[in-house]
Amino acid sequence: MTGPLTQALPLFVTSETADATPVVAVGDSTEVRALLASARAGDSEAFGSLVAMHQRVVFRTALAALGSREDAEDATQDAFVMAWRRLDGFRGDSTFKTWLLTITWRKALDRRRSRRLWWNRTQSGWDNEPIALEDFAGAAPTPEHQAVARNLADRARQEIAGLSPKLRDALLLAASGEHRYDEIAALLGIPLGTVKWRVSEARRQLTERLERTVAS
Amino acid sequence: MTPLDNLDRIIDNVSRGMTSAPPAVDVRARVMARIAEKPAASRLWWRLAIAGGSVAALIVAVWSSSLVTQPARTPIVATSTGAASVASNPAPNPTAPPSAPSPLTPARARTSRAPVMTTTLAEQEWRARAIPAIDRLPSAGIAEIQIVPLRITPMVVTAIGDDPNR
Repeated sequence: MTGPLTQALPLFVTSETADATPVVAVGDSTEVRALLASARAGDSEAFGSLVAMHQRVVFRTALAALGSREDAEDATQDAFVMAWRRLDGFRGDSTFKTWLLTITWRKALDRRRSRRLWWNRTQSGWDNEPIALEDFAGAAPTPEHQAVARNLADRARQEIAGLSPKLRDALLLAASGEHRYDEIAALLGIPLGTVKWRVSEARRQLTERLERTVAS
Repeated sequence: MTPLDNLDRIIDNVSRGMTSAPPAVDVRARVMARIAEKPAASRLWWRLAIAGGSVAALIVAVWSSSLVTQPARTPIVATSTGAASVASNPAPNPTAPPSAPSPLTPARARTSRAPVMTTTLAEQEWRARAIPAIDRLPSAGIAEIQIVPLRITPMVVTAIGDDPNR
């Protein structure tokens, strides 16, 4: 993951530089800063509070990469444990959340590569997640239209799974509602404009394929 | 308005639904447990065993390679051709280079485990008891050959009709 934003955002430093550099944690709240200081001093309970504060966003980020709830939970734990062990390397050049999510993303990608689960394991992941019917209430007022909408939703899930990893990652991270575009850019190590293009391209391809499906 | 008119909305809903699952309720407890746990002793033993095995294998490899490069250290009594042994004549030849190969040792023995050609005392004694080889006969010259003429007595045959005894 080598992009301009990532290069300008050092995540890990040696212990010597970490000792010499005070933790600033730009953008973090006062509460997070206090917890960070305590955790760096060895207070595991303070780190536990940080886990509780960030577990949702970390889990959803891992889920966007892995597609399997079980694997996302494992990656979430791995990310938090690594963050605890490397807490001295956090200099505060970015927010703690960004730093943590970068670790999470790397852990998730490692898991995605090593287990070869990729999108083939979605049978135990998203495919089991029911889509609320009320989500389509506005678009499908009649039962017939609701049935069509549900079929389209199932088809859309398959098409999203079939996207290229770059487009799919950008789309799902943006759709999760947990990240701003600049945070996604930092996470993926790509320029902001590239993130926007990938999301737009993913939506274009999905729309085209779904229209083809309906037409057929 | 048909669902086809709202594909954007469907895509939004589906993609959001794919990442909107809540995390497990015990994430914090699991993480804290993993932080508190120490490396398992069995894992340490495995690492120590692998490291020890690697060191031992390296030592054996270095030792065996040094054996291969050195000449054989067994005392050489005599060669198979009966030449004087090196052991019985330890005085070094000052003119010979120190790295000159021994004539008693095949050249490939320097780089491999080829057997050194030596003879034991028992073999030497057996060779002493052995029947000596027959000396080679001197070759005879053509001029020294004397041919004795063959003498054949003529045989007399009488005719049957002239025999007075019949």
